[in-house]
Amino acid sequence: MEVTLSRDGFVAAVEGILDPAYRLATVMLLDFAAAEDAVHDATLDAWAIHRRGGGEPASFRTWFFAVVATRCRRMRLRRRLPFGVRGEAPEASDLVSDVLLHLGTTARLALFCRHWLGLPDEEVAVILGTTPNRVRDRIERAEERLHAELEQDLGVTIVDSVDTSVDQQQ
Amino acid sequence: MTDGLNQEVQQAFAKLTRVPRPHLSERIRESIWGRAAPGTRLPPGSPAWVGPSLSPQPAGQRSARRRVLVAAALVIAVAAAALLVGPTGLGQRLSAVRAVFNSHLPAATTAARPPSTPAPPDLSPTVPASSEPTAAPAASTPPSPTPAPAPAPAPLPGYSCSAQSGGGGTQSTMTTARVGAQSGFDRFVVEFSNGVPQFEVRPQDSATFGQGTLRGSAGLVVTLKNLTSTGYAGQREFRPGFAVIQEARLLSDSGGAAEWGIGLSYASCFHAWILGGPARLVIDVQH
Repeated sequence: MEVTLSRDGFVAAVEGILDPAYRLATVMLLDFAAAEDAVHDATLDAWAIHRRGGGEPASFRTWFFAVVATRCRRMRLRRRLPFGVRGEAPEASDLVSDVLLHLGTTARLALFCRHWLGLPDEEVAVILGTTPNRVRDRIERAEERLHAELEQDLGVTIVDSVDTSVDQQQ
Repeated sequence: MTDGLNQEVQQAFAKLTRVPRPHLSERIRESIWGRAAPGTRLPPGSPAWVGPSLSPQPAGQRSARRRVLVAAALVIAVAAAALLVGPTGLGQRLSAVRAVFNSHLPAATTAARPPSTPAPPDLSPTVPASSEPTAAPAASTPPSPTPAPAPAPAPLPGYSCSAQSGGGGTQSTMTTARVGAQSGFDRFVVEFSNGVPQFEVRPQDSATFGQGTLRGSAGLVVTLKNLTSTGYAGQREFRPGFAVIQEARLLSDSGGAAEWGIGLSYASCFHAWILGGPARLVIDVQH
């Protein structure tokens, strides 16, 4: 199905998902200013694709997030200095956010896609540029690490919900 | 994962991230509307493929056909005018039209912008730096009637090959500087503690500056005034070897003024922007 948006339509569609896109870029880059640059540049990338007739296979939202993630990955590859020294960076204010900050970028992004955006594995896979099976694996491992860190730091054991099959199916 | 922990993760992401500032949306609008119309050729270096799989391009084919039709109509119109008026008369009329166009170039450029694009604010040095993305080009420098130097590519919308200036009157301190490579342009950024001070970006035909020679065959001089006397403690030299930006060096920093030199691999048009939060002077140099 081909959907061609006008400039105004395209900008309106992007503005409708600017908040999660900016948060996604922040989660990947850990730098607020760089995240703004990334979303801005990714929007231009997306517009360049769109105006050439490039389509969004299923969901504009997921496709746009994938473009933002691609732009963030490029920026990470091109950066010369360690993260956090270029601009204002997110800071941990509690144990969970501290653990999230110390996860790998892909694991943090996978958790963000699952728990903040509420996306299914198939759409998370589009954003991460991998397969749904690997997404499941990554999320599982990230959650295990989160559990372990929290249990270690809090000295408590986190008990899973009664219906564990729901968690396993996700 | 437990519902409780799921909520905790959500809350943690809420604390780690924040809503985008309104200026991001405006910046995007400015950039999208500043770009060429759909179907026109992309600037060199634009990503050929960024996202997931792309479908065939019937929309692009339609716009290409439309361009051919418009071009054919223009050719017919010019030929008809030549037949009606005769070669001498047509030449005189074209000269008159060109003269009128040249004399009204800035106004015509502004009028050509779509109505949804905010008008560029006055960027005279007395105006305080705004958190809005402000297009600095040619605010205080009238457009030169002479064409750009031969090696420079045609400027993209928003880019200019002549000196650009702007900034505010408040005192500020340079905190960091960085360089980056993007699709279609390289970027040089200087961050400030308290708004972007008065600045000027001047192109030059060589990479030799008063304080030394940088890599490249052309250059940009970035002059900053009204700085605090604290001095700059960040990185003073970059040698990224990007497509255009070869080197950037802090040439001088004293007496409330500083000068950065940017060595370019070739003379190219550029675009100076002011962004807020943190206050940044952004210079994009076209590939």
